Amino acid sequence: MGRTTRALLAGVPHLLAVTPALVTALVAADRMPAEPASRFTFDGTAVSTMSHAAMVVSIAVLGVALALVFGAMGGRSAAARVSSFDTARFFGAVSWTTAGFLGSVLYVTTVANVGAASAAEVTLPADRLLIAAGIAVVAGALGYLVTPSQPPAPEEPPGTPVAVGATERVSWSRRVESRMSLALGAIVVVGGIVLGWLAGWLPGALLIVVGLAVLLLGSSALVTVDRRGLVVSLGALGWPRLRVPADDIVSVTAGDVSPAQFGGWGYRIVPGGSGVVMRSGPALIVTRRSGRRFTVTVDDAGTAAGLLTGLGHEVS
Amino acid sequence: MLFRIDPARPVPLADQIAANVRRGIADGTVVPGERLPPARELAASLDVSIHTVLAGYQQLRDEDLIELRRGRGATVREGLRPDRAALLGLVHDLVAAARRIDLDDEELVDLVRSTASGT
Repeated sequence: MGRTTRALLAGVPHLLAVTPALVTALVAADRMPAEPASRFTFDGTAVSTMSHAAMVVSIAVLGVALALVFGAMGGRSAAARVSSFDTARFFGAVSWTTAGFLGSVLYVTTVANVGAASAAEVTLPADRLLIAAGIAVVAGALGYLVTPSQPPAPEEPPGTPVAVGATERVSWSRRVESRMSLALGAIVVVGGIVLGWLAGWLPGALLIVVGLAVLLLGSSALVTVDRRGLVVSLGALGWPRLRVPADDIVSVTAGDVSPAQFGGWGYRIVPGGSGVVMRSGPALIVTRRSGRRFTVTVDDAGTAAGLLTGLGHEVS
Repeated sequence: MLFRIDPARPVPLADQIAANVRRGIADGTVVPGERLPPARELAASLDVSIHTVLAGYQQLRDEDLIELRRGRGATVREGLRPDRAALLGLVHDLVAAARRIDLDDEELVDLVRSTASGT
């Protein structure tokens, strides 16, 4: 199963999903209000509108953008196994669920506008959302079934085991930084300043606080390996910290991972595992007694894995 | 970076901690500008007193290898030549070797001076 096929399997559903809404909006353009309703409250009345052209363009852009993002993520080559779960098929299910839900929401929204003279008389009953959710679940199940399971990259040897003497004490630590979080935090802080200037200090201050939190917590992590096991201290403050005690570690390996495997950056929980993902590239991966895997991206992960092995853990 | 200390060796633990950093800088695993682990964390990790770690870091600062600043912790000096750390490691080895054969400090310095002027 090639990378192109995987990319198409994850990306194309999004193009297909927006097609019914797009075709309806184009074919029935003269039977829709000039300003179709685009958002609804839970009781089904329209709360905001946008021009017909903007509606068509945003449906198309949404479909293409999602297709590109999911296609690019789905087409990633095999990386180290980070979960006891089949992440490739899980990702297929997520992609198809998203496509199913968005596609049906866009379609019912468009259809609700057909035949209305103005946005004010357009209604969208909330039960349509339930139908969309149902379609999403079915699409997700289909996505899970059609996505072939991906054999993980062969486990790399966990580096040369570092021999630890009987009386010796060892401590390996390394800081890993995330340019993604730095950039994101900075953008949010700047956005907060702009918002504060435009819309008042309260929403601005809230956004600035969120941005600072991202900078403080997400910009770096200190990874420590010693007799106690593995500790990851998050952020500049070194708090909160995640621990995997030595006696909970069954096996250790090092390998290349990508944020796509976890659905993004930061502290991630995926079926069958969790991880602190600051960037793509080398990572230390430990398997716990429960079978769940814990991953942390860090340079020189081979040494960390070798040390954990030397401290008395079996090599996976 | 990797710290390895052994309380069974006759070398004080603070000296062993400092030697680890010197070796790390010399072989390039620790680069100028890099932050060393906070003393409290390293002490807990190696199961030694925080004073032991601070004494080791103090030694490195006296040798101009690292900077100690309140709040920022210990950082390897920017613009430092890794060779300097290697040389300082050799000096420590030299002194240790002299002590082993009961050479006193005066004799050792004389030996170094005559070698330096002879070449």
